[in-house]
Amino acid sequence: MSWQGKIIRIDLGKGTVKSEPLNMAWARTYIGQRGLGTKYLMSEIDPACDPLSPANKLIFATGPLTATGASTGGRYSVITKGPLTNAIACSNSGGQFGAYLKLAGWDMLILEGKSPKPVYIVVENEDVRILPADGFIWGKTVWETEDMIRAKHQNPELRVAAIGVAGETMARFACIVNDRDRAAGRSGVGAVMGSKNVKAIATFGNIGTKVADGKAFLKATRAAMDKLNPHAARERLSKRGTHSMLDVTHAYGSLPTNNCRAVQFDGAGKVNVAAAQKPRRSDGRASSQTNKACFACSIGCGRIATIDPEHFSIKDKPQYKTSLGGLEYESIYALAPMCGVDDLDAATYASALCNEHGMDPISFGASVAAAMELFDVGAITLKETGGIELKFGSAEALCWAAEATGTAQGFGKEIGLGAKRLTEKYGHPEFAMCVKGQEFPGYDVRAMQGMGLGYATSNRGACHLRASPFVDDFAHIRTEGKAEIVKKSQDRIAAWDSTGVCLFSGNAWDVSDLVAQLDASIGGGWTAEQFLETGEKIWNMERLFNMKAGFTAADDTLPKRMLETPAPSGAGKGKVNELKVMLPEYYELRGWTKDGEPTTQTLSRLGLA
Amino acid sequence: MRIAVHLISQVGKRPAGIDDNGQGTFEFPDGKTLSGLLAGLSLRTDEPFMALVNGQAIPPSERDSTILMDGDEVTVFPPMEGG
Ligand code: SF4
Repeated sequence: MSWQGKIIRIDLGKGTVKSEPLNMAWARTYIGQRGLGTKYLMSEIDPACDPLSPANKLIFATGPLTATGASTGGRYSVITKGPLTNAIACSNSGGQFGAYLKLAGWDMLILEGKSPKPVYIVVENEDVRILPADGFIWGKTVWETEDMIRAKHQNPELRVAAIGVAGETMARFACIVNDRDRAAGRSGVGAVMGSKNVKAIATFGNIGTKVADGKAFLKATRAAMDKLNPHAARERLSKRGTHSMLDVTHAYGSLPTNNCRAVQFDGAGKVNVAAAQKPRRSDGRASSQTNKACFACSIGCGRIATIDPEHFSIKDKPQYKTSLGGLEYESIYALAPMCGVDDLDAATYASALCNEHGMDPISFGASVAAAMELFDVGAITLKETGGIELKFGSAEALCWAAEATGTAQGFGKEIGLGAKRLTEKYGHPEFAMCVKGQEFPGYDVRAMQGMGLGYATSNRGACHLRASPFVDDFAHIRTEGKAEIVKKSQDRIAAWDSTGVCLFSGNAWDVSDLVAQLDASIGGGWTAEQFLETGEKIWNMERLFNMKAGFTAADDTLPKRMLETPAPSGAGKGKVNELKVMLPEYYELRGWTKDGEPTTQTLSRLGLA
Repeated sequence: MRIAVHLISQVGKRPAGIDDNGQGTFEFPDGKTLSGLLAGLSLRTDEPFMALVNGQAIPPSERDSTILMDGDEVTVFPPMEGG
């Protein structure tokens, strides 16, 4: 079976490391990664705890397909209670780190308590050590941390997941960055790591993985690869990255612009893929250089980019005049249209700083946009910003905000509160484009009704990766049928995110393609039906966590702007999100009460009673 | 009649009459349907594609009954997931 069968448990308060057998009954039920990590968290912490206190735990969980050779199978998730939302947090990342943790012989790593002093953790196969970070890497950037750990341990193969100063100082949307530019991005998981005084985890493994039925596994993974590789979505993601979504949302009128005051961006042509791939005047190079793949991935949606050497942001900063992790759709949306900025190099620089200092670019960009709206109405002034004109459209302000927030300086600390806390502090909570405290991804939900229901009901706050209503949303601006599409896709994704493969494989694979690979790797006679029911179980378990954390149906909502202010243009012109129509139907389909609580029958059916 | 077509983020062979930016203008006799126009573009069928006429979403079920008019703008794109 492709679980390794053991986990690392680290008590940071006592400074102890323990190897523990994986709870196999739970693994067979919840698969791995998101499902299994959530089961452990749910069983081990009080969901009502302060997420930044030692009572919270931080779980790094791989899936059974991680590092098996299944295409895109290099994923891991970080599961904890999120300090941005106070809800369940589960942030999924690729790169190499998760695969190396698995190859070192571990399914999961659990951090509990709080270290009295800053530390980092090195996992080299069986050997797991807690080492002092003070006077070494504490206070350093994510990139410096990786370089310094590799140099000190004389192992260039170490894969490092680290926080930057944003995480150390507990910015609410701090993330954990691995392999320099892949991140467990959302909900502030990096702030939890900072609250525990853990700077980094470095992994190296060459133990390998085993599957239940080698022959069947080879057959299933080959068939899946043969389906994935020639697929149009793979070709698009490989050649253009997710960035190409920007032209789509702009054309449709669902591109959040100027903190969602607008839904189409006049400057879209300056920050789209075509602009990124066009050679610039100064040095003849394009912003977007090539693509990059995570472990065992034949898609390679990641980007490598360069910033114009003459751009103001990197003047006298030679460290950025090199190849950097490039823009994805979510980062370009948040750092450009959402802030009204039409400067591709400024967005690339801000995105690089998010990687370097460990910030979620979605929440960072949307928090800057909220601050820009506060500035626009005079709720904050030059006095608060320290003389910075925090205006919509200002590339200079965006770059300054990335530096100040990433290093926790001045007003940057306020931006690091996230849009919800920031706008509440300055008297305009209506400017926070958030659900459950988490900032919007790149879809305005007046033209995309189903996505609105998806945001409102997402267990980790506003998220584009928890439901998949895209096909129907781009065809019908209506409420009919959305509840079922959202519910079914939420369940499918919850199970998919528990396996160890990337969600983007789902552009080409059906559930049966994935289940064939999963069953060959772990055995047990998995069926598509059982897989989807497992997803439903995971979804309900997350919901139960949130209920215990104090969330109610009142939190399944959207910002007033989405519910009351009609979209000013695009396909959804004149429309608001009709959440109130879709939500009761959604609750009913889920087998929940009208107050959004799973009924006892639903819990018994799912084995959660 | 003249119809402006904008293909966003299509991969594969570029259809005749569509430029590097995914744009082209086509002449058709009156009565051309949206589905007729889309069929002529020979788009890849291994993923769905969405269509707007003058910025308005046209569900796949209405493509046959959507008669294009002179000056219409048709936008075509895949409903891919962001990330
Ligand atoms: S599709 Fe992209 S994000 Fe997913 S595993 Fe491949 S390179 Fe990583």
